[in-house]
Formats: sequence, C-alpha cells, structure tokens
Amino acid sequence: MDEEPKKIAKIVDELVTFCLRHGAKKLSIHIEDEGDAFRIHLHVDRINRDDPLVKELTKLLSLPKHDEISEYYWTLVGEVEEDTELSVIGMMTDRAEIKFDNNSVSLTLYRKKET
Amino acid sequence: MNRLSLRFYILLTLPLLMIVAAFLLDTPENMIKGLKAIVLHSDVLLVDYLAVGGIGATLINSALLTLANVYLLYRLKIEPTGPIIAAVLTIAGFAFMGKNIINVWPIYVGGYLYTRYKGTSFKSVILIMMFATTLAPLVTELLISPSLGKFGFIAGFLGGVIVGFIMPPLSAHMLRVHDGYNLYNIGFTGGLLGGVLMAVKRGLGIEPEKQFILSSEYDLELKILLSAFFLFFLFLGVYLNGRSFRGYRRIMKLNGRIVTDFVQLEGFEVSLINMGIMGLMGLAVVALAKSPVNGPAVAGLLTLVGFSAFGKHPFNSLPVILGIFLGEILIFKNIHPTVLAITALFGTTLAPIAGSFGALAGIAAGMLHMFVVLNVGYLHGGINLYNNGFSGGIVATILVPILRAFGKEA
Repeated sequence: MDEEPKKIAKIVDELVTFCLRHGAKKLSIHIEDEGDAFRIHLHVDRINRDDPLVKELTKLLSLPKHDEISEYYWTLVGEVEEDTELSVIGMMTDRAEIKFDNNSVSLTLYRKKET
Repeated sequence: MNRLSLRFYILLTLPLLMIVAAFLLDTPENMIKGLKAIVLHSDVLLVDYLAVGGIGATLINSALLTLANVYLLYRLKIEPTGPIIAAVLTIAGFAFMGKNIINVWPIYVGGYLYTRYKGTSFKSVILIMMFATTLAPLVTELLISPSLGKFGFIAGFLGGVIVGFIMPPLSAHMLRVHDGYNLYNIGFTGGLLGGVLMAVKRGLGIEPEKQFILSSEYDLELKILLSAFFLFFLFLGVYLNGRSFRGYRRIMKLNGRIVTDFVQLEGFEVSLINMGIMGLMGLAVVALAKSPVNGPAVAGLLTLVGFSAFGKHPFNSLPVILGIFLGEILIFKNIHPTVLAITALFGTTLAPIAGSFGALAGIAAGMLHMFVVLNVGYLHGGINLYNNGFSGGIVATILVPILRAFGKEA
C-alpha cells in the first residue's frame, strides 16, 4: 500500500494541532501534488510567538532529512496530545521555509515522493 | 559523506579498545575456541557469553559485530545521530549476551528483502534491523535444534529472514500502542512476536530450556575498560564543547520521549557529556545492586549509554531506577544482584514517563516495571533479548493513558 498520502495527512495533522494549541485563530492549508514531490503550505494567524516551542519551530522543521529515522518513527506524527513530533516532520521533509510576520507565520514544506 | 566523520571515529573507539583488551587478556587460541562455543550455544535468556566463551572471545564478538554495523552505516552514508548511536551501542552490549557474529545476519537479509518487496532503500530500514536483532536467539535455537539436525541451518536462516521481513511494519505499528513512552520499542514488538512464535513452538511440543548462566570472573577488567570508555566520552565531550558543560541543562529539560534525538537537538558534544555521565552513573547502579560487571551488566550499561544520545538523562532516568530499587527493598527482597542491576539499567526504557509526567510517575513506572518484567519472560520463552523493552511497553501502555487522564505534565 502507498503510505505517502497518509504521511502527508499526518504531517498536516501534527502541524494543525500544534498551531491550534499555540494560539492560532485562523489557519489555512494548501496541499499540492507537484508530481515528484508534495508541497504543504500553512498560513497561521495569531500564533503565540513567546512560546518556547514556537521559537524552536524553524530549528525543528529544518532538521536534515533522515530516512532511517523517519521511516521508523513517522507513525507517531500527529498521534500524541501532550507532545509534538515536529523534529520527525523535519526529518521527513526535504525543505522547509518558515516566515514569521508579526504574529502570523507561513510554513511551506516540501517532501519528495519515495521512488 | 566520503570521509569518516568525527562521530564515526568516536564510535570506532569502543570496538578498537575491545580488540586491544582481548589480546591483552586472552590468547588467540582461546578466542577461536570461545567464539565457536558462543556461536553454538543457546542464546535464550539469560546467558552470559563471558561464561560460555571467555573474555577474549566475547570482546572479539562484540568488536566484530560493532565494526560490521558501523561499516554498514558508513556504506549507506548514514551519519550517526542519536537513534543510530543507541542502536550501535545496544548491539555492542548485547554481543555479551545473545547476539553473535552468526545469528544476527539472517534478520538483516529479511530487512533487505522487505525493502526489495516495497521498492524502497535498505537505508530506510537499517535502524529497525539493528534493533530487530533482539530476536537473534531464535536463529540460534533453530540452528542448534537437535530435532532439526542438518536442516537447522536452513531453518535458522529462514527464521531470521522472516523476523527481518515483518519487523518494519510491526515495529512502526507498536509505537502507537505506547505513544513512544517506551524507548525500547522493538523489545515490545519482539516480545509480542516472540510470544506468538513460542506459542507455536509449544503447540508442537517443544519447550525451551531456561538458562541462568552468569560469570563473575572478569569484574575488575570490565570495570576498568568501561570506566575508561565512559570517562573518555565525558572528557572528550567537555573538550569538544569548548571545555564546558554548556547546553547540558537544556538536555535535562527534554522529556526523552521518542523521538528526542539529543545529537540533532542539542549537539553531539553535549550528548557525549551525557553519555559519559550516564555510563558512570550506570556503573554506580551495578555496584549498588551488589552485582559484578558481567555480560548482562555490560549489555545494560552500553544500552544505557547509547540511549543517552536518544532520550535518557539523569533527571528522567533516576526516578525510574529509584522505583525499581524501592520495589526490591519493599516488596521483592533478595532478587539476584545481577537481575536487579540489569532491571535498573534497562528499566530506564521508561525514562520518558518521568520526563513527561514527573518524578513520582517515574518512580511508579519503575516499581510497576519491576513486577511486570519478572513475569513476562515466560511468554516469549527467553528468545526476546530486550525483555525489559517488552515489559516497558506493557507498563507504558497501561500507565500513560491513566497519567494523561488524571496526572499532570511535568
């Protein structure tokens, strides 16, 4: 079974849960299948930028891709209420662009499809 | 990654140190004889290779297995991160009590066949395969089974291949059962899978023989070797970290739940400091349990140190260790010192519970683990080397939803 759609859905689940738990009041999601890769874009209004984890967002989502880790642990993404798996998302994705603007944040993640 | 990185060189220090120690402590003839004895001996829990093959053969067994795995990582261009360091040191440790230069490889072949079947790369399952060698005793059991005779070799190989083939989907699924609060997830997976395999075996009328083979002969030599290794980690970490402990406090604030990769989150240097400190703390735990440093204790110590790059630190581990010792003092009493020592060392698989829900929750988890771990070995008949991971998975599965509902996050 192709696990790729589920992986994208879990990444979105984790990010949406994280943003809503950290003060987001308005959130828009755009997912695009670009052929060889998926592009996930989130625009979040009024996120709590003082939260320590929000401050770490860029660092965690920008971790280098590690297939040997993410292929084992991706099933945890989006599963746990009291904690996050943002670092696993970082290791699942090839590139992350994070832009803060006052209290809003734009996240764009790219994940190449497995061949 | 064309050249070996510093992390690889540091990982290579342990096997190289072991090879030097083996030749200082034993003769080549004894090593060859001992290796043969190790390979042909049952690996069902609890067996100490030091008692089976002697110090030289055991050290060489561990060194060769570690070198082979490090070479595999290098060939696959995998930079050692926290989980990889944990896996390498877990293999080095369990090469003192159940994993040997023969019985692990069919599992890797199974993993390779799985990636061919799924059309993915072997690199994506190597971490799972390294941990999946928890079921290596199954390979040996089939290999040396008198009822299988000369077909034992084929049966052992096939048994290992099947384990490697089904472990990736199984282990990924089991993570969700305990939500990453049990660090030895493949111990949990291996316990359940081993339980099913053993039920089939028992159904066919084959009952595995229990073992309790321990050595106390090489206590001093191993204490010196391991102390040197842990101090090397500590001092090198401090040196590379600008001759400071900077950043160590940040590690101790992390809850340790899977996936908390200290190396990627806080840096390799400060992770080395944590590994050194945890190793020395582990030696103190073994001494407190009044156990000699033998094969199982080395397995516990090296696993503890490996996972100190991937989830364990003094703040989340000590409450669990305290719970295990309290369980022994208040309830069990007179547990064999080595069993107490390894339960305390491996019991830190539940460190994320203390890291997430507080010290009291960690103590409760440790005590509960003490009850469970002494009762689950029967289920898999001792073929799952990470028996504490199996027990930890059960404890976390039961405890975490309760703590989540009624407890308070730390």
